Amino acid sequence: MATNINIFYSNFRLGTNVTIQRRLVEVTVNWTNDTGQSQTRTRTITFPDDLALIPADVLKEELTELMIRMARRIGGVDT
Amino acid sequence: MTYTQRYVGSGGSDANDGSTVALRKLTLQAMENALSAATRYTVNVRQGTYRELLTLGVSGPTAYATGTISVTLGSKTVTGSGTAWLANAELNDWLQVQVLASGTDGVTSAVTATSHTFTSAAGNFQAGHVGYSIRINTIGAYIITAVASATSITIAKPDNSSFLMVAGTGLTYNVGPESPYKVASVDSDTQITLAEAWGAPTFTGLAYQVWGHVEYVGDYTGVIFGDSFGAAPVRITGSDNDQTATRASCITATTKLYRTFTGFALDFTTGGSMLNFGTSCTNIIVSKSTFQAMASANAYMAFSGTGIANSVLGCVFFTGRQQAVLFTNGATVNNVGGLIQNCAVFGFTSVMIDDVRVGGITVRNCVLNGSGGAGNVRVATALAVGQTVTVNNCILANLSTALNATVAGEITEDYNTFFGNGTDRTNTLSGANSKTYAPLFDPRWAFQLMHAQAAAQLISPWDLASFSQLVNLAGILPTATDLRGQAILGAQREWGALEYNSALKITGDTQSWFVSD
Repeated sequence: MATNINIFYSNFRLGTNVTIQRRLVEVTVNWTNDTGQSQTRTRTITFPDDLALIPADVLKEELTELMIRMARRIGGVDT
Repeated sequence: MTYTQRYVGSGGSDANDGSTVALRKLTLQAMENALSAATRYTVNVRQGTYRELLTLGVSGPTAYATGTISVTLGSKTVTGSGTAWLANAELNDWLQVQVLASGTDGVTSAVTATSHTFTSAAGNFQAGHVGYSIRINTIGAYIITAVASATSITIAKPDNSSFLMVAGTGLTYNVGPESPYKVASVDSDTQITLAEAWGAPTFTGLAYQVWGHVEYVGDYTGVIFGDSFGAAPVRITGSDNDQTATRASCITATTKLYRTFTGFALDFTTGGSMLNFGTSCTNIIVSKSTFQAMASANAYMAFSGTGIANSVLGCVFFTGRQQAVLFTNGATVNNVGGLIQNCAVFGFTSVMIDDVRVGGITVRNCVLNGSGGAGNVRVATALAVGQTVTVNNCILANLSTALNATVAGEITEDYNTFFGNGTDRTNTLSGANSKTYAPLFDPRWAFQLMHAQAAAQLISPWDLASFSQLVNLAGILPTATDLRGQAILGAQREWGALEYNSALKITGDTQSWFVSD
């Protein structure tokens, strides 16, 4: 079991555009709003197109987490 | 100049002036509205539940910082030089050393080594500085490993790695803060006695602040108000029915200074920070309080702006969504001297301690346990180069990511244990003295639950409060007895592992570990 796991990253930057296969999924979100009313929305989420809807700082944080998970797998920390 | 006592609580009336227990006010806000600015107050708050938002209206008196002080490890006596404390300090004031050393004439040389010499002709350095972080603007943050003289120290990276130091002259640097201490007595113009012994190393000739304040004190023991049934928390909640949150905050303030809150159970707000200290509040101290039930991804306590000397001392945070404590500003700000110490934080969805562009925060002797946050001490947005968050003597266990900075050097960690985390450090150098020891928390409380007689039972962190809406809430096919073996009490078996029992106290019998025959 891996312990003392430390990760360093730097130079977060954009690369050239590549073509990847789209992923689509039907998503229904149900929630209760501040006035206690039930809300629901259903739509098709398209990846990566809908990433454009995510604020840049949130996108960077989430993509960094994803890339760290990739790095851990490539490095053999996670199997 | 003594502290004016004020009283607020159930049985009172907002038509009263709050000057005695009998003439107590009913609501916190009415009490606040009756306070004068720049005046020392102790507002005693009676046991009970306050379902209101308290908006702070006044600041305390301006701090006194003339002269310098000398302090000795283990001593309550503070000696002043050039001080006039009889006219400017008072019993119950706070005394704090914010800056242990600073200057604008630091010099570094371009040398590759594991340790480097840093000099300052101003002559600020003393033996006691060893182990502190030094923040050197535009260069970096390092640990002071040796003091050769008043003008020369040795500095190193937390992991003792070799590196090429950036050469510089005229460098601005800063070391600190240390803890605030309550003043027990002002003995003379040059002597103050602290309520607790100075716990940091011995120093002479330090700059300091002593400040009077407006403090709200929860009368947990019931002694102030003569509540005879015993200890009970003083609760401020953002909910009106304990089922849904109504208010964004329990306490909010903008540009207020010299305020203290001690002894409150704060809970259940909709978001926007349970304690919201906005627009550069300064010299705010929150201590011995609990925080739970944040209904949205917001901080339990937020300090926004460029305020300095804000401290969180001995608080417990749980069932949080995001951020027990947040320091944030729209632009980088340096050396604010924020302090989080002796806090326990557990059961969080996301980040526990978060920093957005605010340099000079110290986190020490805290337990951070159980969070999915991508960095549970996190620098979310870059600090100015040379600024850092210092983390020492902490238990960092079972966290998605324990420490997370945007670049190496923004978090200076050493003497911490890391256990069971998904990632221990991101962009953070490993402290040479840090460990991967398991915390091994004491489970005797659990055995007390499972095996002790009813009379010896005590409250655990997972017992429901009397006001929990899960008490006597009908479930489906409940267990007949709870974790204690307690059969149903009241109309329904509670949800969760423990049956609510109003007879339970917070202390049981005393049992220690078996050592040997």
